[in-house]
Amino acid sequence: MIRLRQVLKRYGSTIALDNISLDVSAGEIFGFLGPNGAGKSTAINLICGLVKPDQGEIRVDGLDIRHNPLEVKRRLGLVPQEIALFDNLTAWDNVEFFAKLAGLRGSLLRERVSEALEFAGLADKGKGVPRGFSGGMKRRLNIACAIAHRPKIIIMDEPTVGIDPQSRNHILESVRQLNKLGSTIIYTTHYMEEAEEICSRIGIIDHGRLVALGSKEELRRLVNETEKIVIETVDLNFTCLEQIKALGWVKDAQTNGQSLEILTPHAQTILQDILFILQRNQVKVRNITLVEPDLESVFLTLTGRKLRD
Amino acid sequence: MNVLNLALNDLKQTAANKVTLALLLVLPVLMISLLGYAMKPLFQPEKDLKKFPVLYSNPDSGPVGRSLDSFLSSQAGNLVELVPVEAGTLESQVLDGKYPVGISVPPDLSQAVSQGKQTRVEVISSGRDQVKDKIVRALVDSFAANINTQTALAQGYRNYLPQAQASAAANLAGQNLARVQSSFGTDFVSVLDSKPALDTFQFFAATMLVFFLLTTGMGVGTGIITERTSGVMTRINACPVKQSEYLLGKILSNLAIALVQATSVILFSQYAFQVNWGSSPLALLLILTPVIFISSALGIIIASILSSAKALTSILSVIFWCMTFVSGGFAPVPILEPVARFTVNKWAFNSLSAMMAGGSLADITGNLAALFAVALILWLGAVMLYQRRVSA
Ligand SMILES: Nc1ncnc2c1ncn2[C@@H]1O[C@H](COP(=O)(O)OP(=O)(O)O)[C@@H](O)[C@H]1O
Ligand SMILES: [Mg+2]
Repeated sequence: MIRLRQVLKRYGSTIALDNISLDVSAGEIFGFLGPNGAGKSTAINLICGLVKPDQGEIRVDGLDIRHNPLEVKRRLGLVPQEIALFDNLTAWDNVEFFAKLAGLRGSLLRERVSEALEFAGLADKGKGVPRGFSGGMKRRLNIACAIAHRPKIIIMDEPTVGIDPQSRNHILESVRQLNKLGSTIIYTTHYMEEAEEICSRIGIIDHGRLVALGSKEELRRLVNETEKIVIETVDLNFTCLEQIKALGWVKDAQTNGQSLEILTPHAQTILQDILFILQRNQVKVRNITLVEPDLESVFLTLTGRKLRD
Repeated sequence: MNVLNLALNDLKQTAANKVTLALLLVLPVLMISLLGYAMKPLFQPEKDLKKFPVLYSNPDSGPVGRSLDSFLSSQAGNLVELVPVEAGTLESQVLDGKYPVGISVPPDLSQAVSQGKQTRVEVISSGRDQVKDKIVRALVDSFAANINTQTALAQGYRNYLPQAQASAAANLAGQNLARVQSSFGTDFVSVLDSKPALDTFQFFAATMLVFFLLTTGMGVGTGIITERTSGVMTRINACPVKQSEYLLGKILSNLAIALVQATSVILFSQYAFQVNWGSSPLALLLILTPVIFISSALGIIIASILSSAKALTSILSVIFWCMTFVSGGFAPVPILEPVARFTVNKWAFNSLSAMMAGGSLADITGNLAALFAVALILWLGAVMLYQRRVSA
């Protein structure tokens, strides 16, 4: 459905997207996961034809975006990262405007606008203006404006940034539902929980490079050998952290409140050494757990950085 | 279709903003009323007439020429002071502005009158002083009428003796008069401005209409900047819409808003101040359309250069206020006249006032051409700069 080949995009001297190749098949919920500035929005802007690549080829539904930009756009519904609404027009007028630009007319237009508002949980807010809406409502209206024409492909750029958990769950649920109704979905986020929760496939992106690509399971397998030891303590201090980091086999060690988090491929082997260090530093241990790797640790392993620095 | 949707959406937004809408319709009308009343004294002609100089060239030494001399210096002596000049220099002296009006007599005046041939005395005017023009014209006209009557009577008496039937003589005299009347007349030639002076409300209705139409371009500019910063433009670009359609939508909505504003100004000034806008709505449309296009082009140009709606509004305000001031739109400023000739306001104002004075399309083709040329150039610039900004 979507195909990128060696796509490169520069902004001045920064390479926003570095030689990316990937395919998204029809029916997928594909996630771009990466920290701020990774290049997620750039990837999306390229797919929507909003910016032109310096190199490479982009095809949507078999169409080359350079040659058929309008045809490609007819198949897309974009939910931009920033809320983009007409502040002094009603919710209904906002959705209707973009539905008209997508080509809807007459009774079908009215039907779909009302459907989109209902979908966004704003059925009774059609006459309200966004100025008076809460952040969550604006986010949902932002989505409604992109889906009234039932696009083949819905592209959502961080649609859950800065909203309450309730609106967030509503949005995640509607993404699943839109997908069930037949739309292919591209979803960007820097929340790995979200990506894990809804995406069928994930591309991890950092500094413009696609560092990993696959299903959740495939990605986890990449760092399969790595386990995370979480040790809850009472009186943690930093000298022991340094000593633990100095141990062989330890990939990374961090503190998280009174917890120690250690990434290692040989948990059983080095647990003894770790406990010894803690004892020597008079740190009391309350609990020890071994955690399966999540996308956070995948990211950490692949890039040496946390997702939300 | 996209163009229409985009334009309609702009209009919806304008309509949703009640304050803007009210300002759009009320402000021009208010300004015309205020300026109209405030500046009234400037536009009133002097009440008591002083004797004024009139250039006079009369190479006709025949009886008619001599009697014009004596008529002007004796009977009209308390109104005009004759300044004799060579025939060839009269027009250029009026043009120089030293004298408001001049009278030029053809050398063969007497001969032509006696032979019943067509001839003309020219009243040459700078158009600066309508009252003086009218006085001189009335003097020459009454002299011509007098001569024509005498000629007619003389021709009648030449053929019929006084003893003959008086009624027949009178009859013939009447016929002769009808014939002769056209033989000696006055030509009124205006060398600078052919317009009669406008009254204060006509003047400000015209200048304020042009001024406010120009300011509608700010709406286009702020619209573009707001849509760019709010991200709505990105969203529109992600829809199957061409850049050209977006710009066309902006022109269309601006044209609609500006024409509504123009209609309100025209109707109001007609009703409240009896401003006569001429007999040709087409001509009005042809004058106002390029002004509106110039304004939207300026809006797009500034919006392509700047990123802040506030900065855009300030810059365009300064431009429009300056242009209107220099062109004499807020009050006539004679010393700025040489610069004023190069302002959009002046061309539009001259065209409007020509129509107000009963002119026709033919009288304003020069100004119209200038307006359309500027509109075209600005639009080319606007499209170029907009494209550059979008692809950056
Ligand atoms: N219009 C732009 N001009 C210059 N640099 C840009 C522009 N858009 C993005 N960038 C740069 O490209 C990189 C990727 O940005 P972006 O795609 O927005 O990241 P993300 O959406 O993942 O947060 C960043 O370094 C950013 O500063
Ligand atoms: Mg982004």
